[in-house]
Amino acid sequence: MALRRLVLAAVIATTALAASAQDQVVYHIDNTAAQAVKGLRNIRNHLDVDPTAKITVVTHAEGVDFLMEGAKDANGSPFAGPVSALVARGVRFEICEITLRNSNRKKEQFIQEAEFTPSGVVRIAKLQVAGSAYIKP
Amino acid sequence: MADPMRIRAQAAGDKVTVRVLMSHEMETGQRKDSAGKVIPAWFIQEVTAAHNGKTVLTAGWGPSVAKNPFLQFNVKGAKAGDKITVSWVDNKGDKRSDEATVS
Repeated sequence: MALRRLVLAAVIATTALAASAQDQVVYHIDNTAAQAVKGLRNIRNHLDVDPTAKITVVTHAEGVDFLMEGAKDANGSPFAGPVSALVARGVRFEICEITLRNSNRKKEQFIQEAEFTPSGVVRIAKLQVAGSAYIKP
Repeated sequence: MADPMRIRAQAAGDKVTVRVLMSHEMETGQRKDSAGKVIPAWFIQEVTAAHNGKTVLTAGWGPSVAKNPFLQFNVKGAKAGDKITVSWVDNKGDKRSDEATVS
């Protein structure tokens, strides 16, 4: 009886632990035209269902374009609004600095909410090794 | 200590447009946590902006301002190379001051 109670306590403890740990997710965007609108929608839905998820969006190559000042989607609506709404919900948007050097762009050309990372691919690898789930919208 | 503010100051003609993104919880004191306890109010109370050390803007803020507030204003007569300093004090007495150079 005592043993059973102990096992039960252990089971409850592990489920409580699993419930309290937040999911870490990295979204990989390297093509604004194909992924940006879809990716932002995915992240919004992701947070609606799992508000505690810790989401990092890593962008490089053509994927950085939607984080530039004044960037608009194919229908002409600006990206800045939806992006800052997600930042307010705890999402980090990171831009690859190698992409900036290769395309001669400056950090000032991007929206103020954006963060920077020395290399997009390295960042994605490090996040995954640290336990993040990988999603490429 | 709170995260640094992100400040951009851009000159156009004889005026400079300053855009500031602050990092602050801006808790109203009205919300409750999952245990039903009231989360204490925590918000920025005073914002000041200075152009080359001379105060050009003072604002009294309250709990109705959103989390991570965004502030934009123009400074007349400023030019590239000038320094813009923005500071805030919150209701717990925490302070933060950051500086940007006009470009």
